[in-house]
Amino acid sequence: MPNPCQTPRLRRMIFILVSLLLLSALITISVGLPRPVSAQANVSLSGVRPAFAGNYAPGRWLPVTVDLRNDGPAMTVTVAAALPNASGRNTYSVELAGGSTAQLTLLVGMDRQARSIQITLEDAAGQRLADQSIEVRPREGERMLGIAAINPPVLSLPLREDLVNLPFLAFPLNPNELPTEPAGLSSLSLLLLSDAITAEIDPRQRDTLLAWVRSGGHLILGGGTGAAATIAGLPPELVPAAVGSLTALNTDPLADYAAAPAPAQLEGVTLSPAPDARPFGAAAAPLWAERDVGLGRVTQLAFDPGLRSLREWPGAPTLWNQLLVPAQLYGSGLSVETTPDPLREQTLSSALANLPAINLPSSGPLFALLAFYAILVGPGVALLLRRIDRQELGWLILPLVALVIGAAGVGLALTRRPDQRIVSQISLIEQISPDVARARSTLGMITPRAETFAANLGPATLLRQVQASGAAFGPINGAPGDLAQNVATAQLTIDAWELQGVLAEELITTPALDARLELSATAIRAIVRNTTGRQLRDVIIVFGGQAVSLGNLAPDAEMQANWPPPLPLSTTQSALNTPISQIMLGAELAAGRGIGGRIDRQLLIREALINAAVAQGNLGDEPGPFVFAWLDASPLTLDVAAPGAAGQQVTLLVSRPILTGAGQVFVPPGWMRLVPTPNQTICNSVGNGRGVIASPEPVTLTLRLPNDLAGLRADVLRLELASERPWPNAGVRIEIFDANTQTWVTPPSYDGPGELVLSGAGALVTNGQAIVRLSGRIDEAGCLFVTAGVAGTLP
Amino acid sequence: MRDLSLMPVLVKEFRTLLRGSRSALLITVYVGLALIAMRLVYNAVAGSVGSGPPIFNAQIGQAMFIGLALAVQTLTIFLAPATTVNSISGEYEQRTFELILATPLSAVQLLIGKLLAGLAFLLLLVLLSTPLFSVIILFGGVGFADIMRVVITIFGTAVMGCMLGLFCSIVTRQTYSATLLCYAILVAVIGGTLFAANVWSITNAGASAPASYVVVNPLSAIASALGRTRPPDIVSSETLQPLVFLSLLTQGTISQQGVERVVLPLYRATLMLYGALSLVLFWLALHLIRPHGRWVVGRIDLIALVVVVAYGMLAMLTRDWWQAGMRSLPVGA
Repeated sequence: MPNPCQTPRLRRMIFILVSLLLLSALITISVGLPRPVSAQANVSLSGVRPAFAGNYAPGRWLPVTVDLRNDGPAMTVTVAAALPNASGRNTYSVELAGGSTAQLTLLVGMDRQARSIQITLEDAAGQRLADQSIEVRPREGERMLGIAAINPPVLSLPLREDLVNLPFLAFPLNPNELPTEPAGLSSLSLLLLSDAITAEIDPRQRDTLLAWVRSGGHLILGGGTGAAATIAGLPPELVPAAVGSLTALNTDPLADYAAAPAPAQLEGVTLSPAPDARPFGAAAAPLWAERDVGLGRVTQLAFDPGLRSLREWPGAPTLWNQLLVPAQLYGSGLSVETTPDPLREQTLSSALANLPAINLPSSGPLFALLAFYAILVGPGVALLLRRIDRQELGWLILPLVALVIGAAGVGLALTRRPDQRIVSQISLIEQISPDVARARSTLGMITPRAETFAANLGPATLLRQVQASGAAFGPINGAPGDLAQNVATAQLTIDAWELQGVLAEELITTPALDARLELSATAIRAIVRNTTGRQLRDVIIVFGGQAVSLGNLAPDAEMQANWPPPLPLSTTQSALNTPISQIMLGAELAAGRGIGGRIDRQLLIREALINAAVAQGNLGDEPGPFVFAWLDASPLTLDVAAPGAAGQQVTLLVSRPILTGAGQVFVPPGWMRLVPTPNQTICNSVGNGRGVIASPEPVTLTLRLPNDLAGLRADVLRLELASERPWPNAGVRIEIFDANTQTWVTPPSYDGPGELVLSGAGALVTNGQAIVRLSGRIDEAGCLFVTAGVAGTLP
Repeated sequence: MRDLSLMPVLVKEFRTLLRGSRSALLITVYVGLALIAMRLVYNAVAGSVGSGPPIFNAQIGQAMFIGLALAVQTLTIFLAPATTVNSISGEYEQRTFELILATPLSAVQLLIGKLLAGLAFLLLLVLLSTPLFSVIILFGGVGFADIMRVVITIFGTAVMGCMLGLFCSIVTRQTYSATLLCYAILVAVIGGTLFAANVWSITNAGASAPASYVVVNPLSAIASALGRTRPPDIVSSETLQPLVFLSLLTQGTISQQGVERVVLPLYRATLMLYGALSLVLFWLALHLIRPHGRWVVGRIDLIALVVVVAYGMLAMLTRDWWQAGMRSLPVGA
């Protein structure tokens, strides 16, 4: 009898059994073995600190400083910040040497209501090493004041409970650690720079400061002994006055200003305000000087804000409450913004819905093939079969022909199928200094299947998700996934058939456009020289409800044109109320929006870009002057690798022409604009434009020339007063402030409305400003409108 | 025993159908009109890719698919009866019907043979239109399920149309009268139901008419089959939606509620109804074709009854599937 173990079948079974046992043992051992000690376990978050104590302006950025410690070998880690329920994260990757520590500042794009941020530390493979949640708080309608000083002054700010609105939140900042991107300051509406050595700050920090002010920030420069050091390194635009020697300041004007007895003494420096700065206080040694810079403001104090005598002065809270006000306030009620940036960025994001025209495949050959086919299967085959008298063969030949042509058609179609992806980039480039521009781009993408795009970025480009919105042509959402900072290439993940996008922003170095409006006694000449090194298209200068188009400009080319004749005073307000986008594109937009019209989406993007450059919410458009030009490509590096995709780049360059002139000049109506004070209520009328609501109290109407014309010595001032309701037939008193005598003068035989011509107006227009006061029964007039034209002499 | 083969009739019909210029003309018209319809849709859409709401290639594909499907369905509706409307009346007019009766062919063989021959020609036309779909592949946006829904609906319509033509041919025994009767029924069914549904909607504050109003309408059926051809969700109601093409036909089947669209699969109920109607018409035709003793009940009626009962059972078993197309649209739809 054979040994059963020797039978081949049994041997095979034993072999399989042993193999299975061995395999099971291996699996058990491998599962049961302790995992190798991970090097990542030695990296930790040793500190996470949000800037401004976690307070942020809704929709803006919040810097978060993260301290890292690596007790293990060198490795690359990523710090990620995620808001609750957000689909994207801001990330920052850093290489950590073994046994090292590192500190990084991650800018977190905030939404409008987040109360916490989840900070996660991950290794290169995305494995979580540590995490921490930090508490944050949105602050809407509050004055967030950063105090950048070596020794932060103590200010007697009004208490929250003593204010009706706009309470203060103050945060100390290290003046040497000011951010290098405007985003780092975006949550602040006020910044006090005092007792700081600005000569030592980085040029990028200076540019950041300038960009922040231009976009609506209010910078307050401290005076006193540290005044010279505080202004030493600042750009000239941010210094409204030259600093002189120390002196005892005349504090009398503070009594009226703060409605309290003036402080006994206040030591400060002598300020010599620039022509376009508005001094407050004694002419020889003003207490402060103000200048508007873009949408923002700079207030330069003659005194040290931290002076003990000031701190103990009972009027100090009122002083700060009136002086430390945001340069701009938009909206009302629950939604108050101190910068138009959220509105403008929303406009940019919404413009993404105007997608580019798709790449239409070349369908001609296919239609030609099918036309041939229609002839073939119809008369072609029939004639052929009739010729051989075998028509019944059609039952075989016709399907065969359909099969062959169908296969050829499908093959042709497959080889010619277009790329369904769409990439759209809309950029706004705002020149903020002769060599620096603030660049913002929205990038929107659509793909038929989920895909990750690589996007090359500039050296300091910040990315954030666009705010979700429902635009005219469909919804737009933020790109999900990680948005890396401090990287050359970001990976952008886009879901299938969703229009998703990011907003990129950066301060870029680019030469400014040389644009001027030259004033003379009889005409105004618009001159633009293209010093940008780029081709400029459809260059146009807009100001005071009028525009002059200069066409295309090649690099280094120059173009000149006469400014249009001035508008009559009576129609100027209406022109001023016309949106700039309407002035520039009105005819084309009207044609597209007419009955049966189909509006060109490129035109809609242009309209959105212009609005994004100038819109100020309830304040209408920014006054200007502006020079707009369209660029062929955005100077902001944001290149998405999507070969074959349909795409478009629409880029608007916005710059400000210089207003120049010498000798006798005239300033057309509309250039001198009404500037409502923060406590005035703005009203709008279709026919009359923007005005202020009259009240039983005397109403002060402040009219201001552009900064460049602030040195104008006025000879003739022409005013036109109008009102929404009928002007009271008696009992209205109209006065104009005379700066020479510091008194209000009443023009003879004029109690409004209509035109008022004042000759010898040198004392009525000082520092580019004229102030009209109306009292009596003026509250019956409702909304008040005023337009002004000036003629005078420029030095 | 009688030969139950259909071949004699089919062979005869297949030999004669493609003879003459009528079939070539029909093929040319059918394929040519479908191609022209597609090209018109393409021109209309592609001419505005840069203005107005954004358009995607997938949507162009869908619009062309809908245009092509509507063209094919419309042609099928009107050509299907034409393929059979003279099949029996022609025999009467040529005085060959008595000869056919003298052959061993049964009425069932004759009718099925005539029906299949007409259907085969119609299917040949549909088959010849398939290369046109290659243009849709060029643009994309249409899935296999979309195509299948449409093909099944067209097929159901073809069967019903051929059966209607055959029935009219038998009833009138004159091609002229049969054609008049047949197309009068078609116009009444298509126009009348849509008119009734729209009147109902107007008199009910714009509410969507009950689906039962249009269940018999082949254009409503194809509209509901096409209504599910979804454009990319990115588009808003302002953006090109292929539904715009169907708006006149979708009363009772599709409604737009804000960004949400409710599409009833009415085509399922229509197909079931066409199946039942075809069976009933065929049964009636079996009786009407007899020269004498038309309503004498025989073995064939038993078979027909069994078939009808079987169909009824099938309808019962699949009621959830096809009744989904008959549900009322939500209030306010």
